[in-house]
Amino acid sequence: MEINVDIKEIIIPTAAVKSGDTIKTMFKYCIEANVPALPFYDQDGLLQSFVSLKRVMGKDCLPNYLVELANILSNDMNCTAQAMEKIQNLFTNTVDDYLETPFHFIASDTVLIRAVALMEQYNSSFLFVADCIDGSDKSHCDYKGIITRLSVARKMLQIEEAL
Amino acid sequence: MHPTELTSQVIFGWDPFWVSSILFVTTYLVVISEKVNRAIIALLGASLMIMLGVITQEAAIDGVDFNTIGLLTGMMVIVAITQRSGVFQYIAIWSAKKVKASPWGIMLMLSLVTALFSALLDNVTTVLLIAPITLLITQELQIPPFPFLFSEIFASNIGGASTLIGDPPNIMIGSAVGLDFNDFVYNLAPITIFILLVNLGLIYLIWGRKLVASDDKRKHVMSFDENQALTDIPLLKRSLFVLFLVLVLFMNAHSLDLEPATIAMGGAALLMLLDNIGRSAEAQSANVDKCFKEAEWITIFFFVGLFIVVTGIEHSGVLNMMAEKMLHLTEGHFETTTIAILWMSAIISALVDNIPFVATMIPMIKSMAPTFGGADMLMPIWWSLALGACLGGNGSLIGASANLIVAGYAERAGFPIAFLKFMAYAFPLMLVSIAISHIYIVWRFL
Repeated sequence: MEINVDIKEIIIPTAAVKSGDTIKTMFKYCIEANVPALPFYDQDGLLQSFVSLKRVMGKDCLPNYLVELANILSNDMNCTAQAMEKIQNLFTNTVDDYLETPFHFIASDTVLIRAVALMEQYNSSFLFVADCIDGSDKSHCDYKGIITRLSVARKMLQIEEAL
Repeated sequence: MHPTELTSQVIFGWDPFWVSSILFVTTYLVVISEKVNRAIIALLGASLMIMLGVITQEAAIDGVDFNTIGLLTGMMVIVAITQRSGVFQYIAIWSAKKVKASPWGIMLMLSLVTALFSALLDNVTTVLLIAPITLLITQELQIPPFPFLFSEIFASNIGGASTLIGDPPNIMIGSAVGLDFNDFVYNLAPITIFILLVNLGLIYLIWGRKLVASDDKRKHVMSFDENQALTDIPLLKRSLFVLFLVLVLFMNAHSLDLEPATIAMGGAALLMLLDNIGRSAEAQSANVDKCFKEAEWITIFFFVGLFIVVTGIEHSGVLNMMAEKMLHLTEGHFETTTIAILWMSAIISALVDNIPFVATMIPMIKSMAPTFGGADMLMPIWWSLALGACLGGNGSLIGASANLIVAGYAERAGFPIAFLKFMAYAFPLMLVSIAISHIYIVWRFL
């Protein structure tokens, strides 16, 4: 029996964000697809960067000193009381302030082992999937979705069950 | 210095005096501009000194003070390992709770802790450990963090001035002149403690007396559990043992005939050994690699490049000429020269990095020895240089690495420190410190 070891079956289709979209919109898209990041189309329609929940939360929700002193924080703190106001402010911001590069992506016919190896190399928990006409011209890329470590784990279970 | 290397083989027969002067000034200007990383510029300047033939590679290597480099590197590794135990955060939180979270009490305690840590560790590490706690506490008390950060910057630079290992200028001076840990403690610690107390008094008058926080907010700070900061008790015990051992050796270095670099590097090696016993070979490699990565290699290579650049201008006679000019200005009067160096060091260190300044001043002052009756007679000048360079760093936000580190950290956390606002308070307070040092130098040494 032939086992399909490429990533096609585990790609999670998602929406993409564009310039001017709010963080609230981005959060909704992420929750709908259950993914930690979304691609960003620039004004020329090119996929050059992305927005991640990690970056958004790390940049505005958590000041550096709270992260460093996380182990001594208590439940009774002023910063938790100010959370509502911070959330409201954050949601009105646009995704343009949180763009990340480089935008790494793989083709949909990539084999699973290469996808996992690239995730390790990029120290990332996800990878974008896009098929480009000549493999490099990003203006002709067809965005397919995203694969995550969770979806990879699902695929590995499928392979094991098929054996 | 090697007389044979003085006969430079500068390319195209150019005058080594001018070639080295141009390289020196260019290097310093680019370092001051902060457009390019200072380690890159110092190493590039050093390479050009050799490539253009101002000095040979052998002379360049001889010019690098490996006692300074070894002491810096060793202490960086010791501190990098020790801080992983969480002991510094523990002490800071504990001290804040000891004063029942009163704003002025916290400011006083955190400043004293900063000064103590800065005297025994390095300033940059100290402020990096104290700044997050300061921001957390001030946010919980809902009071502005600026006075606290300001006070800690001052405490850091004043504390660093009190010991051989507290601040890079002292490390350089100690190594170049052969001064040990006790020399610095005996000659500088009393006056730095007095200066710290005066500054804290002034800071109290400016901000401290006006700071208030409700009982409710103070309860938030009292709810912090300092024990949670201690993440590795075995490492804590080993680190404190090695730190204690290193300090005891520093205090007895003279009688044991040990150089500070030997003690620091030996301490670092011992702590790494204790930290890695029982680990697999792979885990040891990863752990040692992590320790080495935490050393500030930019600072270390900056020193290496700088030593070579200064060796270049020293060999070509520029520093001798500068020393002669200075003696001409002070009419060869020892007291005037000593006090001039104190004030000049302070003003220059407030505006530019004090490390290249001190690196340049050391050979220049050494060349004054014949005028003033020998090297032993120069001691008041060395203390003036140390006090001026270390305390002068308080004069502006760019005066010392610790200042920039605090400003950068606070800005990333959403509390930017304005350059002019800082200087408006800092420069006059720095002048007060130098005026006190002036009186001390005259009273004690002249």
